[in-house]
Amino acid sequence: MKAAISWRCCDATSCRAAGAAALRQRLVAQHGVERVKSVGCLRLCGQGPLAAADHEDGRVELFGGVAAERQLDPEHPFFTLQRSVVLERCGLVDPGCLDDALAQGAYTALAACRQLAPKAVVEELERSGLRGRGGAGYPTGRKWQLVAAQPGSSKVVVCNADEGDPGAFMDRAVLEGDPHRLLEGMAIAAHAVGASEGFIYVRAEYPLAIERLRRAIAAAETRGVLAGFAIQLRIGAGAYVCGEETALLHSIEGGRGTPRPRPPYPAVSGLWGLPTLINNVETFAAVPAILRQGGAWYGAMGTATSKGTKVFALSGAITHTGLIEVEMGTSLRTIVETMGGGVPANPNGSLGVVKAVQTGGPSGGCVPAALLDTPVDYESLQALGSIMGSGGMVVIDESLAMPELARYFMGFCAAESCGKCLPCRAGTVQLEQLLDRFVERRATGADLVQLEQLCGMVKATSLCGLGQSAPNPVLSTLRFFRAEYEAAIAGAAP
Amino acid sequence: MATTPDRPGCHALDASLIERLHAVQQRHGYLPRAELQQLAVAMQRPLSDVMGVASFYHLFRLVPPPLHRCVVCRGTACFVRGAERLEAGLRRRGVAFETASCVGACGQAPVLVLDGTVGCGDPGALPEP
Repeated sequence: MKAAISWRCCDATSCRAAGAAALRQRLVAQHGVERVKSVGCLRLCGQGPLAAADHEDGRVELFGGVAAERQLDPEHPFFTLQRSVVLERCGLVDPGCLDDALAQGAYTALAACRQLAPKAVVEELERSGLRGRGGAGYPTGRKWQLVAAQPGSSKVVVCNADEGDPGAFMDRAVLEGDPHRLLEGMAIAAHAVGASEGFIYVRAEYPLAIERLRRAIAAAETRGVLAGFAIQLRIGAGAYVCGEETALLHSIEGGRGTPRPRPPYPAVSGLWGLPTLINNVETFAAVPAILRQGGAWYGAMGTATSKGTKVFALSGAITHTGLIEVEMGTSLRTIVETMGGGVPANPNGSLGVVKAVQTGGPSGGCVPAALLDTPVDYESLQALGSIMGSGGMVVIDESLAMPELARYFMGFCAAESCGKCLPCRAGTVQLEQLLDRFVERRATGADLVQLEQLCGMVKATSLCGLGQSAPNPVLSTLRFFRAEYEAAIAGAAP
Repeated sequence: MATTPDRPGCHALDASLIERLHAVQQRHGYLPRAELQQLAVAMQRPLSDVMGVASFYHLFRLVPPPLHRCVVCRGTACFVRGAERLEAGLRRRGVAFETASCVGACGQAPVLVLDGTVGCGDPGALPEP
């Protein structure tokens, strides 16, 4: 075997947890520091710490383990079925080095955009069909157009990097692996809507992402690549509700992160009452590629209503845990079985069986194994009572009872409810207590009726997305796994 | 960080109460009452406002932290892979711990953060008390 010319060592949170520092040290000792580079996520997090060896003939080898003892197959469908757009540089570029990012094409789309009229930039984005990747799926081009149309010269661009859904780490990968991409996307947005100021709101649970962003912003400003667009970081303090846009704005202003009714939408009246464009990390990160390759190129990928690619964080009871970016419309079966390798075998040797796939975190639902051929796009998932969400995809196997999963999410929502509106504050607690009865198999038939009624009430009357979507995990498991709830009614046959 | 001279004062970093609270917690490890009172005076806001923000966010501590901090991740991937057993195991051993909603290291689930270092918290690997 010819020696590799260079090594790329994953230095993201997940691989760090698995011992990336030890692996890097070993590689540096063997090959010299100049041939080992730190990069962002190499995708197959479950096999971490990961390192990739680049050979002279273009061959790439992938290794896992602190002694690089496991050789992994880069030709596995987990890698070959991926289509990297948002993550095109993640894993290749040194996130701490602006020169490396520039050498790999960072900020070229921004420079090209500056030659265009803002209107042309917005049109290109509308042509791409990109929709908000934070979960709601609002057309990004239309949002930009709304903010651009607001009068006044003081406008703000805000990036929602408060990736709070448990089981979601797509944005973390972008922030840790290719922070300049986000800054470029935000600067393009600022040019398009006429903003001179930007804020990135990052959750405090991502210290490495914060550190990388700080360095990236400082380097970009020193070098002048942002051409006057000033970006500030704001750090969250552990409140899930701050992922909701109006709560996030309150938090950036320094107050309690409670939502407010919309309208007015932030596009009209946002931070300090200024017209504000809010998009999440993945949305901004898709922008440079769209502007570079054209909206038509991006729009050619995906389905009729969901264009382009989407990043998913694949985890739970699955053989290959990690980060994938696939074309919209890829089936859940392809993702879970072909790419993810399905549920690992049980300790007793029997085959693991997929029971359901949970998408959209605490706001989403469960797609049962029988419907795995569902294509992943906004509408198909919604039709099944789940949502695309931000991209967390947790595989559930037979060992987990659905009322237990529903209680887990309801407990999360009850703990994270900001307390401003009654249906969410009290309703989630009541729902959790009802679910306790089902988990402990002491429920009654009346409890089941009440569970469904209360779900409907909380969904219909809560102020913001947190409360409105909190019943989703219950409703979707009731829809597909009702027998498990009925079996939990006291006296029912086990 | 570059500052544009025409930027209104309210947009500056030190005008954000949350950022100031982060700074206090960084210095002391928690938010001492006296510091909160000083902050209220310095920012010309009622103490109730400052307390309101400090108590709203999970990560702000109003009491001194223990010598070592152990945080169990309660993310969905960790939940599916046995975080509840991990918590039960720690409880049985009398280990005080906090919980986080998700630290984003789902590949290593179930995850434990010990004094800021993220690691895999295999519930089976805990020695019995």
